[in-house]
Amino acid sequence: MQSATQQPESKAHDIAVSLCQVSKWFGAFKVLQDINLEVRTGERIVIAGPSGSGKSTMIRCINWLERHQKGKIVVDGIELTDNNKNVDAVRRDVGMVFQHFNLFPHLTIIENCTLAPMWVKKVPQSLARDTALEYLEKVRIADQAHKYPSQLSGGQQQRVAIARALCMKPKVLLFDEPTSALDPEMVREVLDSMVQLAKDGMTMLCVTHEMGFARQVADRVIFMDRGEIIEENAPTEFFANPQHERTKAFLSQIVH
Amino acid sequence: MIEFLSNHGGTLLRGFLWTIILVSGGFAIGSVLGALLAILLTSKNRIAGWLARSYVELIRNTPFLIQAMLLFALLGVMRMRFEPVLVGLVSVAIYSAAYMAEIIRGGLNSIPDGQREGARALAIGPFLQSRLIILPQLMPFVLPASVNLLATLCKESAFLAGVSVAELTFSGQVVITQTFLIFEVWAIIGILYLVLVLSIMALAGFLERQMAWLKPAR
Repeated sequence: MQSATQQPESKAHDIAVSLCQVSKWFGAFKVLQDINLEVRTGERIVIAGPSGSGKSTMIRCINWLERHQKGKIVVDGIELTDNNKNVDAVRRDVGMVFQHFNLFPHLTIIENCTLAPMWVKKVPQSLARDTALEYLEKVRIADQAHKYPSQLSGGQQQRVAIARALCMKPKVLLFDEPTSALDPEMVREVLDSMVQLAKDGMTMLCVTHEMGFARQVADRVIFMDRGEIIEENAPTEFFANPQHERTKAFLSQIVH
Repeated sequence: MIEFLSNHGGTLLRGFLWTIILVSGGFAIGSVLGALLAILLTSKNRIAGWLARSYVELIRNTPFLIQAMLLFALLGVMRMRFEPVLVGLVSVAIYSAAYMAEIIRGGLNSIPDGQREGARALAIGPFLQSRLIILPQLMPFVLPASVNLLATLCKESAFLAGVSVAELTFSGQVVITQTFLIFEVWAIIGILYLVLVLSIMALAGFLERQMAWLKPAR
């Protein structure tokens, strides 16, 4: 009895994100098929797979930018349901970095970073600015704080987007192909910031084609195809010894 | 000249002021209606979207004078009597709402979906999204276009003379029937419209400079 009541509590601490039998359809097309995934706190997960395999849709379900239609998603002990309070609570806990940055063009870099903390978390402006500068420093872009996004390069903008997400002090960070829209010479600087975050112990789910990054920081690589998780393994095993035919086919096609 | 102004200046000035009241009042109401229409135009509700689209196309593709005449005729059929200036103001509102709706819809469409999405991922709710993210990005787009609309309204409102609204052009007709100074009166009327429209344009330039902060630096 005692252990039965204790277990869910400790589970809520250990498991940052859990997806149980999650399915989603776009019209008649099933994009996610009975996805099961548990992400422990502090774990770094890289999600790979061909385009259209449902990787982005899956992580977008975790902060409900996409609604799942079947199954159960629990983030830091909060289940995602139609209840707006739950969705709101989950979004406060989960940061997201997008392929196209989605910075606010009418606000300066520092304002981009302080907007949500000030308006959503009611953090006083001076404190929000200090926090923002701290994180901008971390992604090595604090000297650009008073410029507008359009004055920065793609790589710089993406690092600002990472800092903006961090300013909400999230427990989980989602990355949706963060380097796919960047010029090749800018990929490194963004990956460096992500590696730094991983070292700091952030729980991360990254959809990316950067297999070097996966080798370097991932605890687990998840391979998806046609809306299913086909294979998951530690990166060394995953790359050296892929089990599934489709994984082998995919890995043989990408440069890594 | 002094005699002309002392006898008829009042009539012309009154007409000038009524034009300003008609246009600014109609524009104000039309802007609010236009914003609501724009929300319907961009909504996912097909029926609401279709109704709003029909309204916008109906108004934008028929002459303003015909719309005003129809409105007066409709009220006549319904045996309802209102001050002509009030009906004139309503017809300006009806007309400008359709154009304003298209201006705002265009602005909304120019803002990428990623903007709301980025805000949603930061737990910013729908109301704050509109206020903090959408509206400030809409203004640099909407302001210049709506000033152009306002200038157009000033000129189009001359048609209201055709339904006996005592605005500037109508007052010109009145003065001409009393003085037969056809050329002189129309020249004065023309200059008054020119002054009105140019002042609006100057005001717009001033506002735009004041609101430079709204525009993202390029």
